[in-house]
Amino acid sequence: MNCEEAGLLMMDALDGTLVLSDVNRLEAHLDRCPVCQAEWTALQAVENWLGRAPLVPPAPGFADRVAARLARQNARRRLGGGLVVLAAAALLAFAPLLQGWLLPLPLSPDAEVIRQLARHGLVVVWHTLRGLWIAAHALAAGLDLSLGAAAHAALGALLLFLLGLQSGAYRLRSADRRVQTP
Amino acid sequence: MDTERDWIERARQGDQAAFTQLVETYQVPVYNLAYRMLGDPMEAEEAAQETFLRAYRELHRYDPTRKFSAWLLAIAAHHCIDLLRRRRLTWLSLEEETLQAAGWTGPEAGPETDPEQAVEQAEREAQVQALLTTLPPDYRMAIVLRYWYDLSYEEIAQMTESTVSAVKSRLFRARRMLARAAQQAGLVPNAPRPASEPA
Repeated sequence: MNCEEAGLLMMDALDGTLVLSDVNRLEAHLDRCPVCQAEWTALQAVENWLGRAPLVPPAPGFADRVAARLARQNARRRLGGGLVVLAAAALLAFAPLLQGWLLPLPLSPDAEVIRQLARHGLVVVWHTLRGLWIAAHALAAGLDLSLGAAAHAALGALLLFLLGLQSGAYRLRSADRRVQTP
Repeated sequence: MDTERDWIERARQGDQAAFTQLVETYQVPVYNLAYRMLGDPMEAEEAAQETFLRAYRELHRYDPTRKFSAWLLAIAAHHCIDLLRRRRLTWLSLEEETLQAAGWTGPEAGPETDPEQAVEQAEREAQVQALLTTLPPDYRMAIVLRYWYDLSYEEIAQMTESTVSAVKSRLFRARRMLARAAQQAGLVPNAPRPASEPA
């Protein structure tokens, strides 16, 4: 047996998987190899120290500290999710105006109505209530149900889809009017 | 354990009190792993807390057919390895002063029965920790999981996303490195002894 094989058998011995015949072979090698003998002594010593080292506990109150950190983290996430939904709701509520500002299209009837704030106060109130209704429900969903970021993103996507639907419907109506105009 | 499954299910639904029960149950093994890996109580506290926060965020990914403790320890292990790699430490051979400063007095002779047991225990703790710091992160992880958690090669491989042969190789080298570090520091005699004599 050479020293390399002896090293492998030492590991098996430490794991308790060394068969009796190999025990005898290893001992024979160690008897005539001082280097391996010294290594085996050191390995056994290290094995002994590691095997007797206890589990070290954290300082008292660890679970409370984790709970406090978790509560702070959850509060931040809920607030962030709520703000995202609120922004999406605001976007939808004021979509007609944004549509008029951002796209080279004639303003939609909604936008025209919003521009005529002074003359059509009732419509403005309706738009405001619609925005508040969406925002309130979105926030309630975020705060009470602890929805994850994916749920918030899905709700935001739905709001943007509705915005696109509204824009598309307006374009169709505009096209209809152009066709019907002689 | 039915109680544990119940805690996990409730924690998944956002019940923080149930998650706190899990923290109380596993705080010692998670903290110990972080402490053995990082070697510093403050860093270990931070790493153990972060482990539980990550576990809470990732609970929906937990596979109930797996042992929860193994899943949790895997999160802790990966986090500690990341921290150690970020430290960009240079892994040098053991310096004798490190262990002597830790209060090394020689190999253990047997169970402690004298009044100085607590002091000796603390010294031995420091010695073990000093030895561990001589290992690269991957080797240290293998040693910690093997000796403090009594995991099999297969379990360590699964936990560290490695192979059984790689784990065996790491343990083999890690043990040899520890033995040589102890020899170089004069913690064990270099003179040959009979193989059957206990260390």
